[in-house]
Amino acid sequence: MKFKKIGSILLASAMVCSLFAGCSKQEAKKDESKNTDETKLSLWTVFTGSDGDVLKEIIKDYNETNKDGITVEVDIMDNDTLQSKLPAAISTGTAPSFVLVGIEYIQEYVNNDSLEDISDFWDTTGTNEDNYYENVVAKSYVGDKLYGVPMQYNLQYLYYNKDMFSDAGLNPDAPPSTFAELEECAKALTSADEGKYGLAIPSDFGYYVQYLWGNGGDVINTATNENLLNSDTNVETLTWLQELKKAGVSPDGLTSAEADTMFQSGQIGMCLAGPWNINVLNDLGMNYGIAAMPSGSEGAYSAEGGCSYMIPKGADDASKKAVYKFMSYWLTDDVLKEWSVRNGFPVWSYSLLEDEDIKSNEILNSVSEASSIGRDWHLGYEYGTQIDNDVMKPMMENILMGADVKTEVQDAAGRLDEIVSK
Amino acid sequence: MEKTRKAGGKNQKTAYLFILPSMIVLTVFVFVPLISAFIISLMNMDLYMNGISFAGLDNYLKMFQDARVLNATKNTLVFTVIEVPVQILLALILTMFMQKNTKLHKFLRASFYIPYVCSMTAISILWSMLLNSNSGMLAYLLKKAGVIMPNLMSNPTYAMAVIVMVTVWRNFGYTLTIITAATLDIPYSLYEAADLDGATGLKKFMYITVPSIKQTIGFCAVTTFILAFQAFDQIYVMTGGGPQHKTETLVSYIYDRGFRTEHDLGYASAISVYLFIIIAIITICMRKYIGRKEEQA
Amino acid sequence: MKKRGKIFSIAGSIILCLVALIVFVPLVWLIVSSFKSDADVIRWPPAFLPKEWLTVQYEYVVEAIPILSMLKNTVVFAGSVTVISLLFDSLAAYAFARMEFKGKKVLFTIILLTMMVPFQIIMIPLYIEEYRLGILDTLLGLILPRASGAYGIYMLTSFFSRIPKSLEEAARIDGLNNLQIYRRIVIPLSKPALISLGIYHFMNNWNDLLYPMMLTSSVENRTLSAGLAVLVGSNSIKYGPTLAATVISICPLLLLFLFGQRFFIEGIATSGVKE
Repeated sequence: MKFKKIGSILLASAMVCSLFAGCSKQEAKKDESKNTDETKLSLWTVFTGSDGDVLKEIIKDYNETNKDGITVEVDIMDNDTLQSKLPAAISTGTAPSFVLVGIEYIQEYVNNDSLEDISDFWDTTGTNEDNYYENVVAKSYVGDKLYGVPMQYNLQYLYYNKDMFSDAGLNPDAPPSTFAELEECAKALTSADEGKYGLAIPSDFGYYVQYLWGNGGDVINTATNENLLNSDTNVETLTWLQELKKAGVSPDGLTSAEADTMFQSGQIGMCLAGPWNINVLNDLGMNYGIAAMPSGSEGAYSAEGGCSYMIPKGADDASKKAVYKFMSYWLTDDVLKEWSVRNGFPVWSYSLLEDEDIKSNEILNSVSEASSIGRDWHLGYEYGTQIDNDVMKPMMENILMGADVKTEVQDAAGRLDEIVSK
Repeated sequence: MEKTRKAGGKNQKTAYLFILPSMIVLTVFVFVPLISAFIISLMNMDLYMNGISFAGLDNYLKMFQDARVLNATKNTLVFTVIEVPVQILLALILTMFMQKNTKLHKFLRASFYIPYVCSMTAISILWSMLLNSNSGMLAYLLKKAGVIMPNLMSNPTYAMAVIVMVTVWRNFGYTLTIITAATLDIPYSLYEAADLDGATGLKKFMYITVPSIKQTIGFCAVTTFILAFQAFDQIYVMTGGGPQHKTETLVSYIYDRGFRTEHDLGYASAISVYLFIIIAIITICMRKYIGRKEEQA
Repeated sequence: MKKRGKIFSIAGSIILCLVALIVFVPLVWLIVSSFKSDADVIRWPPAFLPKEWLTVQYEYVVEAIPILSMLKNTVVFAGSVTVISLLFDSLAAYAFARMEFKGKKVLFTIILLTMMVPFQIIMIPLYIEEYRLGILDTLLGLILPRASGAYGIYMLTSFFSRIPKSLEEAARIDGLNNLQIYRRIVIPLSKPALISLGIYHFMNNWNDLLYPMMLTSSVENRTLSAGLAVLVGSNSIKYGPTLAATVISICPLLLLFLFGQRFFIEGIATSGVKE
């Protein structure tokens, strides 16, 4: 008696379950039968911001217009989720057709045999490799094999608020070009009473290495793993930054997301950031300018980065071919132009440089000018993220809070040794 | 008791059938992955699952030399030891003042539950925006009043306090509901007797209400504790474990090592096993303690 | 004596008001701010009310993500989990609370232990296991692992054991078996507990982020919270849409809760456990 009833409950629940299972399976089948001569591609990416909207629009356009029956389905997730999911997906053969992630991951992926070699991309699709900046394309190579197709190239710029410059009696068309001028402007723009700050010095900013480079310092030689952090030059540069912070040009305990927001609301006069701010600033109707990273005693350098399309290991030929088609579509001038014009990302195609719209675009011009000083900040270096998180970030947090620079640099160098010696 | 014993074997079978569906689900989707995690902790294995080799206790040995494990353990304990009592005490105090089942009290009870309806992620974003010392509402109001608010989330002294505050803000309503539900089951006759004795609200609460709902409070303590020990979302969104790893809990650190920086699944699993053992020991002690108290009562 | 009582109730009112204020102000701010323009959200000095009441943020969210299909997924996912787990959990809880069997204590402790497993720990093994079972990236794959849980079993056990033994004994004399007692006595008497547990399950699964993100790979199987998370960027957080998305994700739950709250209170009033 009892058993029967319990059994029936179990049976009922099992049926409920199988019902759902049935539903989802049937749906999947329907999809397949509908698309016998169509190719569905899945793309995982991390474009969560406003540039993600543009990306989705371009892909939607492609889906509607391409004649090969290719549909690209984008799945956007945050970077942490994507990075933890992708390896598991690759090892179970459930990876997407292709991914679009930062180029700093290529080396790690290749080390773990997670990417398809796509060296035949240029020949197969008839795309002229020489039409694109060599330094941009080179970042998708590991050794002499191609593992990614560049999607965008970016580096850090100095954003400045022209209105605030005018208000402070500075020339809005002459942004600082040296560290000394940067300091001068930052101090002139700062007004504690009005709650205005001159320069954002956020504690979680990953690119302080730009200041070190400017004065001839560095963190690590990625080829030899030589620790370069603990040098007098670095101590000097960092002391200068600390003094600047002490002078009150930046709010306490600022994060880089907050820095962007405060720049947008006109509370901070200058900040260093990537091109993804341009879109937002334009929407807000800000009167701002973009300049290159100012130079120190040894020159001006800006940390570069970018994203590439990559194909996870295990893709079959048909889907690989279709992905090639999409990737070569991305490399056409029309698409690259839309991407650059709408998001303010620098142009890296020679033929596109000749385009009239590009030539006359003020923002893109200053961006392109500011983009000639890119330098590789451990992109593809296997300890890269760990150095950022475990060495640089805590060091900068302490220095900006007023700790002794020399000790902090020593401690950080010690941590760096530990990581590299593994 | 007598009866169930006599019924013997057949009754036992029925009991097993009752727990069977749950056991199947838990076995397949919790025990199996958990045992896998334990096995992984004995391996050299990263997220890519290439070149897996047996590591023995290496991951565990490494763990005991890792200062950040110690730091994260300390932070987790600090968070839990503050958050759990505050949440339960707040719920108890509010219950004390809301014992009449009036419309107002019902309305308030419902309102206090609303934060719990929102996800921890959403709440964390909301509070980050409000508490932002540079662009937030609160900082502005304080500034007008002449007080300069420090940047709470990136200040080593205040960051943990803010995390605790936000967690309590979201969760106390749930504890309140459970405790209230229990108090409403207390027979009126007990209170009537106390009224005759002339007891005040506080005394009635201390000597009648609290003892009657001991078991429920124990339940809340155990579950709140377990959840607090696994705090992650609010930290991930609000501070990312910083500043200076001052808010990094064990789960944050596991996530960081396993999925963000080193992708070292073996090591992350070893810390997980360690975390699991700590929670298990404390929970069992708590339940023993509560159980003994109940028997005394 | 009387004076003391007065102080007690005044202190109570003050504390209640204060807490209510702390709870309401941020929530009202959230709702109000979701009607601000992008510039208005980050404006300095900040203002509580929008300069202009706009719905641009909502329009943006609706355009950016397929809200309706995600809503459907979320309802199916959270709804099925709630129904199935209430059934499974209450069955198990009945055995633990009202029956004696060998290994009861050990089994209960083991179940309790599963509550102590943070999801991050079993995330990767679970992913691989679901793949082997062929339920990865399906709604079923989302529902099954949540079909029973230690929290529910624990909570219901503690409620079930509070039901007076006398009721059960009377039932046994009437010749009811365990399943009948479970269905006719324990379940009806535990309505409030079941409803509040149901709300709890529904909400938690509704709000869950990492879990559906990990186990679904396609947009059509994604749940609402996971879908809305897409708006919270890593490079540039768009505050406006984030606020609107948060409001959207809360609204259905809020309605459900207000509805459930009535049930909840009625449930308590009619439970009749009071002796």
